[in-house]
Amino acid sequence: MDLPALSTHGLTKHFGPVVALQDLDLEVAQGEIFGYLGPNGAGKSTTIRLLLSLIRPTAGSAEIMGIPARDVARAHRHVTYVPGDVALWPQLTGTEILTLLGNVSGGVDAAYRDELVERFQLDPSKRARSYSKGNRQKVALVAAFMTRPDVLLLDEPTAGLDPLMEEEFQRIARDAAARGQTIFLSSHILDEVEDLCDRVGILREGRLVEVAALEELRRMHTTVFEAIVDGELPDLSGLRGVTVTEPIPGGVRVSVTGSPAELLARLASVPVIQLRSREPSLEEIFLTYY
Amino acid sequence: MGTQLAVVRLSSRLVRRGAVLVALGATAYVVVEAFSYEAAYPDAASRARLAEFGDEPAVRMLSGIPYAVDTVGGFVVWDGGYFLQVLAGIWALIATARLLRAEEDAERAELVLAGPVRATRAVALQLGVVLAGCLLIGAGVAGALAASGAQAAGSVAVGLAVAGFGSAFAGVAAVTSQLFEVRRRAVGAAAIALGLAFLLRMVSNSSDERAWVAWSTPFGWMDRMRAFGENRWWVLGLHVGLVAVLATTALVLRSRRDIGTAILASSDAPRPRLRLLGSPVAFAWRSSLGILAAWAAGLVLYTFVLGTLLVTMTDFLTEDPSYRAALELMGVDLTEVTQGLIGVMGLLYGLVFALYAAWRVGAARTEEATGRLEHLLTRPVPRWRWFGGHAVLTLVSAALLALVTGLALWAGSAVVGSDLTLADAVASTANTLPVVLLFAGVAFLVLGAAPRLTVGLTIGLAALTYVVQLVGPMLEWPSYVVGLSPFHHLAPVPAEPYALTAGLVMAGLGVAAGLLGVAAFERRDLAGA
Repeated sequence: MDLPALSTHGLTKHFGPVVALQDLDLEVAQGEIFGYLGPNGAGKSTTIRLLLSLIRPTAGSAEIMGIPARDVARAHRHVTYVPGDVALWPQLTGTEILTLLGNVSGGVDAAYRDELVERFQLDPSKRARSYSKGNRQKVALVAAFMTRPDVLLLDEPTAGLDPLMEEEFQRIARDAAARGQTIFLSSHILDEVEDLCDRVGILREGRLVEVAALEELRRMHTTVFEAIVDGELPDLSGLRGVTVTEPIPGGVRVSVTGSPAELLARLASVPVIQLRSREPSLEEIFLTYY
Repeated sequence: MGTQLAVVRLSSRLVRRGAVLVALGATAYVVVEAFSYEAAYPDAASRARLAEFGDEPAVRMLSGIPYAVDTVGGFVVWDGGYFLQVLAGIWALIATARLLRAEEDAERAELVLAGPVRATRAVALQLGVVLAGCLLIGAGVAGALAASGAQAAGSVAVGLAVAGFGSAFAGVAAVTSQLFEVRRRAVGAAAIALGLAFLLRMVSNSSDERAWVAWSTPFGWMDRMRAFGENRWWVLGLHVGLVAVLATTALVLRSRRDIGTAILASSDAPRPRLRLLGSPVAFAWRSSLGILAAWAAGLVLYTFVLGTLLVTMTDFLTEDPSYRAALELMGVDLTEVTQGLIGVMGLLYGLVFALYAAWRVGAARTEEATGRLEHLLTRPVPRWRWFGGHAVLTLVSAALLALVTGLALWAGSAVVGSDLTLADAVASTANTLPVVLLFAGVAFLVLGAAPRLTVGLTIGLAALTYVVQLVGPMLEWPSYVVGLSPFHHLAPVPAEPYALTAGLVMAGLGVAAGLLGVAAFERRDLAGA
């Protein structure tokens, strides 16, 4: 078994009386794209900043590629970071910033860097001062991917990107994961996580309330059935697994957790014209946690 | 109307703390000056001698033309008026650029201008807030003067002149904030204007034939006001007129540009310069070079002029036993007059270099506060290496400043044929480096332990302990109080040999403070603004 790319053990951070993160135990495997979900203030950025030793844990520890996160001289050889709000040196041009960050990181793949600049349609000749939020994010994304690190910690990296660039980001991220790089993606853009991630962790008020593969999450959660019936509706409440029923024109919408066997048995006794079922979106799953 | 009120309230909130601190500082300074006047010149005879001494060309160039120095108010204006004006001017130009340019740099101005308020009206309101701050500083000066027993009318006149001076440089910064697109440049250009105004004052005071030059600089206006005698109130009209012209210019310029742009915008896509981007330390050096050059230029100019005055000053001192006695009271051995003189002046360099060090550490803090430091620390750069790099650069920069300052002093004195040697000149400036190391250490300790106070606390401590050494011995403060000032432990090199033990102790304390700072920095969270 490979070393996990990221692992945390009881990782805890309090800011005075505020509990930002409590007892986080998490492992992310190499080559995985891990979605880290939660509303604002749930502790997503706190986790990433702890992993990077930008802030110090109140308790617990973390490792990056098996190296203690505290040992930044070694651990940071394996990791890069895109903050949610990218601040750059206003007087430097994009090229100058990428040169500086490349020199500090070491091991830049120059051809790949130029390809990334091209794919993100970034104009690196401009001074950072003239960059929009999206362009600043592109600089940080290029800088993060250009060294082909083992682990990328991305904190809402696409908040300022347009839909085309968002697509491009997803392609680049998938390529990276296919090469064995690990991506830890904090986000509240659920579509992005749904498209990209193998596994997700859901954070609420500093506590990890769920970690599961997307498929697994869907199985664990509500499936929605819509039945159009010719005639009178049977009483569906009280059946095992049924959580919500609501009338729709000509029929009923039913949410079921777990097996829909009892529901199907009951429906079998009435003249059903049409039966539709769909899996819940990540958004619907996500909302059940809050 | 509500929006305009909101703009005023926001702006005052952003600058009021500085205004109050500067007003308190100015008030305290006036009180200390007044006390030291009563202590040093208790009787009419000593005050008459002071008037005579003050009329010497060399002294006039630095302190101004003495007027009514037989009154406490006149003395404060003559001895400290320029300092009060510099203080008000620097605060005003920094605060103005903060409101008119930094808010735009940070893209916060947009939030305000999205409300129902015209950009020019917002500028006028923000400038108004700074002018109110200048009046507060002036009120502190006037109140302190009056409370020290100076004539009331003269006190008010001087207070208004200090406020007017500050307002003038608020006006200058309002214009430079329209001209340049980053705060640093707006502040730099306004500070250069302040420096030039000071030079014009030195020129005008250097001889009676050039006295008319005083009308060309706000520094000269306070002297021409003849407070505590004639009290020529109409001179204040000059301040008002200058502020009106500058404010109007700023408003016109603002109306001709878009938000986020500048009248003298540099190219948005310059040729990339890839030198000094190889490591965090190289990059820190690259980022600080411009400001270091500006400090060096200012110091070189000032000390060069000072050097050219050395011969006049030493001639005067050799002829005036009472002033020699006064200097000897301050602990200066004047067997070699030139060396003694530059030994005493050397203390001031210590303060200036310490202020530079505080600013330099503040620049490192800015990297952290803006979040840009994260780009470096999330790469394989341990915190201590980044911190230590800045420490080394700060010390190297301060040493370079000491070197060029000494060179300029020597060069100026060589022009007029003084007997000052190059070695003595450089020794007098380099002598202060242990104090600079101490305050740099303090600054790094504050950066590690209480980062938001980095610049303010360090500058405050350096200025306070400097004033303690300046007035403490004269006022016969107990030695354990004066001894708290690091400046007290500097020997007046080259008149006396270098104080090795004190130097080592201060350097050691500085290094220890720096090490504590790095330890605290390693342990704490990175902190935003």
